[in-house]
Amino acid sequence: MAKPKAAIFYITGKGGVGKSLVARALAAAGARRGLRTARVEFAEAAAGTESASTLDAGVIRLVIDHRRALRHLLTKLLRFSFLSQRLLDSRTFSAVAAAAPGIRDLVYLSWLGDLASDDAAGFDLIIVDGLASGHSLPLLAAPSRIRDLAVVGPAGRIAHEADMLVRGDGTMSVVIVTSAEELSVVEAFTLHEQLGEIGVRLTPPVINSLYPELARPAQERWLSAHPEASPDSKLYLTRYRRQRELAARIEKRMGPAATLPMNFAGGPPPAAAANRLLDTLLGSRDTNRQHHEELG
Amino acid sequence: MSERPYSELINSGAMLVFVGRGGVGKTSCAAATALAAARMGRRVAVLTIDPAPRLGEALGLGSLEARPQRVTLEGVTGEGSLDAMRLDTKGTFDRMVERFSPSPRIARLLLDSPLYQTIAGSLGGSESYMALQRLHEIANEDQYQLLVIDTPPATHAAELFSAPLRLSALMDSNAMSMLADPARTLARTGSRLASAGAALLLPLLERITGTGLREQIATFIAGFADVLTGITDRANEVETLLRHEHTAFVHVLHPDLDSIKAATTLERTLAETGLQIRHRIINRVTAMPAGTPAGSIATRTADAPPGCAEAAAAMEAAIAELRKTQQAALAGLEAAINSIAACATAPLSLLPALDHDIANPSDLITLIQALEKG
Repeated sequence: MAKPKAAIFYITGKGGVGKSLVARALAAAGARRGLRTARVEFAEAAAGTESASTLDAGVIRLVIDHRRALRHLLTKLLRFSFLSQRLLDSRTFSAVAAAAPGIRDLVYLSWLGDLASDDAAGFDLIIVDGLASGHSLPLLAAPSRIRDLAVVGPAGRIAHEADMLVRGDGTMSVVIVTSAEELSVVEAFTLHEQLGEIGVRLTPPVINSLYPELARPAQERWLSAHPEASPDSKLYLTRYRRQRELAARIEKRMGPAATLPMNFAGGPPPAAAANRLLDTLLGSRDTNRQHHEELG
Repeated sequence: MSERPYSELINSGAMLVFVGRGGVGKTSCAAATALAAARMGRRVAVLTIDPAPRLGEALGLGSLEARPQRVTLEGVTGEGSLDAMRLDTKGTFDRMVERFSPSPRIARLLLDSPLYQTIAGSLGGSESYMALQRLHEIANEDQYQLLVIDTPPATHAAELFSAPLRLSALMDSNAMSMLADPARTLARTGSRLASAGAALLLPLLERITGTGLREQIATFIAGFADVLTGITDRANEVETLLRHEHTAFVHVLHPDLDSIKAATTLERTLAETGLQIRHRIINRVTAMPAGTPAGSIATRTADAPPGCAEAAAAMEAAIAELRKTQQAALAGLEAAINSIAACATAPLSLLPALDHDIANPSDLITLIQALEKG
């Protein structure tokens, strides 16, 4: 019996909310619980800032660029890699494939879908450190746009598979990460709405970098009223309150959210929080798939 | 080194370009800087890329529009003025089509074509191209003494400069004729197998590009090729402007290790392109409180409800840790930057984290005052 497909979580959100750190932490959580885990980055977005660290132990890091994804697709279509190489060697073909709207996106999605189904690679979990929200929307919307064009033949099949990946069989889900700051929240709302319209599978949103609750209401009231006693407490509480207001708005608009605590020492969210988040994401995926199966 | 390098910078330059990754506050810094320069008496324009809705309000405008709007400078005498605008990528692209098309008729055909609609929206990094085009337009008007330019949130700053190169790749006439008549172009490559392979993707290409209407497409290609040539030429002219000695690059970053690493990469890339950062702004710094309280937490919370001392201790520790992290990041930045010789001497400004997003004029004044300090 074929191995079940890997679960793909595509992480996106406004630039600066901590997408990459969340992706790394999730991948590490997967590896820690014995899942064969890949973390995928897009070459065009990879900041080149990473150094090897213990956070990545056990995680296979894959950086995908357009040329490589295109070669993979052509190899699949043509079945002999030397043929696809000749095609790729044609600057013409590469330029068009890179520029023609929708093709680039399909190439990436096709590659991702194949990675999830690849028995030899054998991944259980694929975390995609996705593009920022503005760039992710065209990528995730591409299959729907192409579908409307009613393409036939092998290319049509590829478009259909990409469509299934993004909207259909539950292999892939999109995780919108936001911080509790006005600009990221607004962008998260927009993305949530637009992806919802397309029918993309979404997990609960993730609110990153939340200040933990460190004071009960009575203490909060007194410390806020007496900033001279502890100016830094007042500072903390001001930020905490503002974040909670935004978090409430997020949940009102986007449904129950998962949260990750602020790491004051810098760096990724703590392992325990990442574990909890992975549980939530995997759980939401199971619910989605059950629902999908029930609908037939 | 001058006492007030930032003031000197905004008083002397002809163009200030703000670079940095997404989410650091480039746009707000650009707006505050432009306002500061105007208050100093200069005729300034600021081009923002994706401004927050409230930034327009903070400038006293309803919202930032594509057309320049004059900002009212409160309580300032002198010759200074500020025109603020945001980039309208599609609108600028449309204007380029109109400007560079061989005739108005062809311009109309292009603008109405579904293929153009798709390309204008998704030509990889069209924001970067159009930012350059718009910059050229403004510079050419010759109305301003200082142009303050916000940039798209590029991880790789070199994206801004590689725009002309990537456009050239697309301009390869082979690529254009491929779009127009894929079958014939591929047949010419002389490889039956290559043709067979490409033919598998042709149905998709044809559907997307609508090559069924061959004549219309041929006209489109001819017209669009002219547009792309115009845009490329102009992008090259703009690059000259960007390399001018009176153009300064200001790098905005956050005081955390991850940002510092990304920032170092960006500066190194710019240095390799022959450009240097003239000033750095570290944004969203958690400053020390105005007055450090005397006495232990127990003393300070003696009159407080139970548990306040513990709560205050925890919160003070968290903020102290945050400050420590930021200091470490800044130290790391200094070390990293010293390894990029060209940029080592650029001064630094620290901007405080505000309690709220920029929403009114006093917020911008707070930023300006912090900028003018250093």
